[in-house]
Formats: sequence, C-alpha cells, structure tokens
Amino acid sequence: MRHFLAVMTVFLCLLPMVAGAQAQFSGDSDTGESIILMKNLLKDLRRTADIDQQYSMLLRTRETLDEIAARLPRRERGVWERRLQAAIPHLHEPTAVHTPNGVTFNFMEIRGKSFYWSDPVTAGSFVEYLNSNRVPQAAVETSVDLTDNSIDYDNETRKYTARRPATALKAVSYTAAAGFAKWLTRRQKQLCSLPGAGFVRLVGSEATTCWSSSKWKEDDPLRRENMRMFGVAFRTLVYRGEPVGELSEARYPDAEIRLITSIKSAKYFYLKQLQELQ
Amino acid sequence: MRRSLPIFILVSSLGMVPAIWVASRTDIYRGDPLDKERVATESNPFIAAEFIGLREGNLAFLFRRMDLQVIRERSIYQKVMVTREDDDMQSPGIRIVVPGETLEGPVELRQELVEVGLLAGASVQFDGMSGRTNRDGVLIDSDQMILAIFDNLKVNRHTFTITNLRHGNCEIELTRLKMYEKLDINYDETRSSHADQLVGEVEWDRSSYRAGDVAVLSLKVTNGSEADGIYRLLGRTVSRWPWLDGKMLYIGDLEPAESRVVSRRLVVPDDLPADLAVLHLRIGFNDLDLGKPQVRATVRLDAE
Repeated sequence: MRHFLAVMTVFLCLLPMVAGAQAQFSGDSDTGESIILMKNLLKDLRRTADIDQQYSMLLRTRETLDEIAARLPRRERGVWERRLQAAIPHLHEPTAVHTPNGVTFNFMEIRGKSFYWSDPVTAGSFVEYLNSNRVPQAAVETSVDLTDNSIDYDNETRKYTARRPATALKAVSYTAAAGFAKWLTRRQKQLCSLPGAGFVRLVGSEATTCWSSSKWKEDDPLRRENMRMFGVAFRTLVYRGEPVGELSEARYPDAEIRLITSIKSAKYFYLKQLQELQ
Repeated sequence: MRRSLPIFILVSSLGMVPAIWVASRTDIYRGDPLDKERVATESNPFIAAEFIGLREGNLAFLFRRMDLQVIRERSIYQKVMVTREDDDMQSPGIRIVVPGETLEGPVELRQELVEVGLLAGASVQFDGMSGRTNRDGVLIDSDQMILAIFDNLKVNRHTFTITNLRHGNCEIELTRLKMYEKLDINYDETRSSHADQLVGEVEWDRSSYRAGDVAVLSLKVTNGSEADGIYRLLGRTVSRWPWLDGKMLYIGDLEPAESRVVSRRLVVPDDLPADLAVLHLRIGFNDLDLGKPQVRATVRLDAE
C-alpha cells in the first residue's frame, strides 16, 4: 500500500511536468511550421501574377505571424514585421480600392508617378463622418447644403442620414472637404488628403470642380497685400478644370470632395477589403 | 529938415511892408481820410468746396459761391492848409481844415473775397459724373464714386474738378488723412484696440439681385466687450468676384457695447456667372492690432 502511494505521488508530481514538456514540444513544432509557411508565402507572393492571390498570401502571412507572435522572441518578431513590410512593394497595384467608409480610389499614373485618385465622396460616406465627429447641425449647414444633398438630421437621435447615400456629395465648402479628409486619415490611419491644384488639372477633366490642398497665391501684389492686411486668405478651388482663389466657405453647386492617397495606403485598403470578404 | 524927417520915416516904413508879407507861407496838405471812392470793381466768381465728412453715410462736400473781387478805389482826404513863418518851416504852423473842400488820393488796387451764398440746388459735374447739391449747398457722394477711389489703399490723395455751368469750376483735393480725420479714424490714437469680441452682421437691401442692379451692403458692427474699446477700425470686403471685392468700410472707434452701421453701394455687373446663385464674400478688419473675427456673407443672384 505504502509502495503504491509513493508511486502515485511521484506520478502525480511528474504528470504536469510531462504535459508541459509535451506542450512545449508541440508549440515549438507549430511555430517552426508557421515560420516555414510564412517564408513560403512571402516567396510565392513575389512570383504570382494574380493580384488577389498575392494579397491573400500577404494576409495569410499576417495572420500566421499574429498567431505565433506571442511565442516568438521580440527580436524575431521585429524581423518578421519588417519582412512583411518589405513584401508590400512587391504587391501589384489594384486598379481600384474601397475604404471601409465607402471612398473609392482609382489608380493613376502621371509622368512616372503613381497615385490613387478618389471618385467623388458620396453622401453616405460624408454622413458617416458627420455622425462620427458629431458635427453640430449649425456647423454643417455652413459647409454643405443639406437639402441639396438630401441629408436629414434627426433631432432625437442627433444623427444624420443620407436619403441617397450612393450619390456624390455636392456643393461642399473647403472646410467640409478638408474636415472629411482629416477624419478619413485619422480613422483609417492612412493619409488621405485633398489633391494639389496642379494634380487635379492633370487628372481632372474640364468638368471637374473640387477643392484642392493648395493655398492660393494672389498674382496682384496690391491685392495680396490688402488681403494680408485684413487677414483674409483664399484657398484654391479647381473650378471646371481651372484653379481659382476662393473663400474656404464658398459652396459651388458642382464642388465635390476628391481625395488622393498613396500606393502604400491603397494596398492597405485593398488588404482590408479582402480581409472583410474573408 | 524937420519937415522931411517924418516923410522919410513913413517912406521907409512903407518899404518894409512887402518884407513883412514874404515872411509866412501857406501849404496845402491831405488831412485825415474821409472816405474811399470805388472807381471800379472787377468780379471773379468761383465755387469753393469743403469736405465736411459724412452725410447719410456718404462723403459730403459743402459748396459756396464766392467772388474774388478786384477793387480799384481812391481815398478822399480832408483839405488842410498850413501856414508857417518862412524862417521857421519846421514848426507845425497854423493848420486849417478847409471846410467843404477835399483832396483825392491815387487809385489803388485791392482784392476782396466775398461769399455770395451757398451753391444750393445746383447741378454739378465731376469726374465724368453728374450730381446735385441740396438746399444747404451740400453735395453727397451718394453713388460712392469718390469713396470708391479710396478703396485702392495706395491712393492717398484725389483731386477732382467740380463744374457748374453757371458758376464755374472748382478743384477739390481730398486726402486720405483728411478723410480719416473727419471719419474719426485717428492714427495718433495710441490706445490699444481689442477687437476680439467684435460682432458683425451683413444685411442687403434686397433678397436677390440681377445684372445692373445696385446692391447696398450694410454692415452692423458691435463691440461686444464690456470693458475694452476698439479703435481705428477699418473693414474691407474680400471676394473672388471683383464687384464684391476690395470695398473699404470706415468704422472708426467703438467704445464697449457701441454699434455702428456702415454701408457700401455695389453695382452688380453684367457678366454674372450663369451657374451660381450664391456668391460669397468676407469682411476682414484692421485696427493695427491682432486677433479680429471676420464676417462672412453671401449675396443671392436672381435667376434670369
């Protein structure tokens, strides 16, 4: 009996140790496999021509890294993060990407430089911005025509709703356009900005009317001096393809919000898009 | 011999008589001036103008009919006779004013500026425009044509000629300094201005305008502060549209809680943008100190 008890005590003491060792062995084996998998994915990513496959591979690598990240030494984790970042330039540029907020960016290549140029921001996306930032109704009314854009405000819920969310938002002021760009950048953690006037002239058509990020430089030195003396500055509005100096609160019926973003950000948005599909 | 002595004395005495008469002399002089006799008067009428500041919110000029008279006249003096001893010509002598007789002085020229009256209710032309003085002889720049010249801040002096067909021409020189003086904008004022609580509101005389209309912009500014004053305040419109841009609004000093309304007339041009119903403008302020709010405004256009 005494012998049996001693054997049982030893067994019970050793059992957790054995189980731990087994688990350790199994985890090491999983990590090793995951690392091999990531290596292969990143290798294949550079070879494949299929854009969706490429992005899926990167996503899978990301997910795998996230799974084993806790088990990896800090230094090794950093190495893998850098490898993932290094793989991004090898991804093909998608022709169009959609942000989770419904802004569509299209690939553009001009004079050897590549950008993503957005479709006009829709009323639905703009309403999301208004609700997210809890912009007061009075402030909204000075920067966008709510009636023309079929945007309603519910006094009870204090929320805005767009009756036709897919239609392009029109008659926006610079204040509204810049506010939206800032919000999207903060929300997506990717720089989405108003385009420069020169850029709009290159990519836009004669019908394009949108606000640019460019400050307006008055040609007439006297007028420039007067404006400075009285503290008023213009922003650059591209009005039907031509840049004009305007007050930031001006609302032209055709004025839309157009944004630009970088290749890197567009790839990030495409990855997000695929992630949501999966 | 005894008989001839008296005869001799008599004859000798008679010989002395002319000698006694020759010893005194009488001269004629001009005495005190009695009057002036106007020989001729040459009239040179002209119009004189004076900038008198603001009337009905616009620059105002007072016109007077003046006459620069060239007068030819001579003085009329008393006739004075002075008799002196020949051997004492320096003495005052005996002075007698001859009654009923006068002496004339030479013809002299002098100029005299005479105000004939106010140029009331008269048509005048200036800078290619027409205007009419009121019954007080005041011409009000109601079209703000002169005021508009000073919208260009490089213009510090403007000279223009006022013409009245009946009374002639008049040259007026208006300086920015003089204008500021009359409008109570004093740059010698050294008090610090605090315009951070300036409240402005724009009103139009109509709800919408068409090409060719005259739009009257009225800016009501209030110093919202209860403690600090605003001094030397100037406003200026800024807009993409030239007809709304660069109009000066002379406000001056605003004590705490004080309000003032200033107006500008703007002519709506023919080349209005066909696709825009609302145009934007902003009014910026300058009081030589920093931190002023701006006033935003819109103007609505009528669809043709």
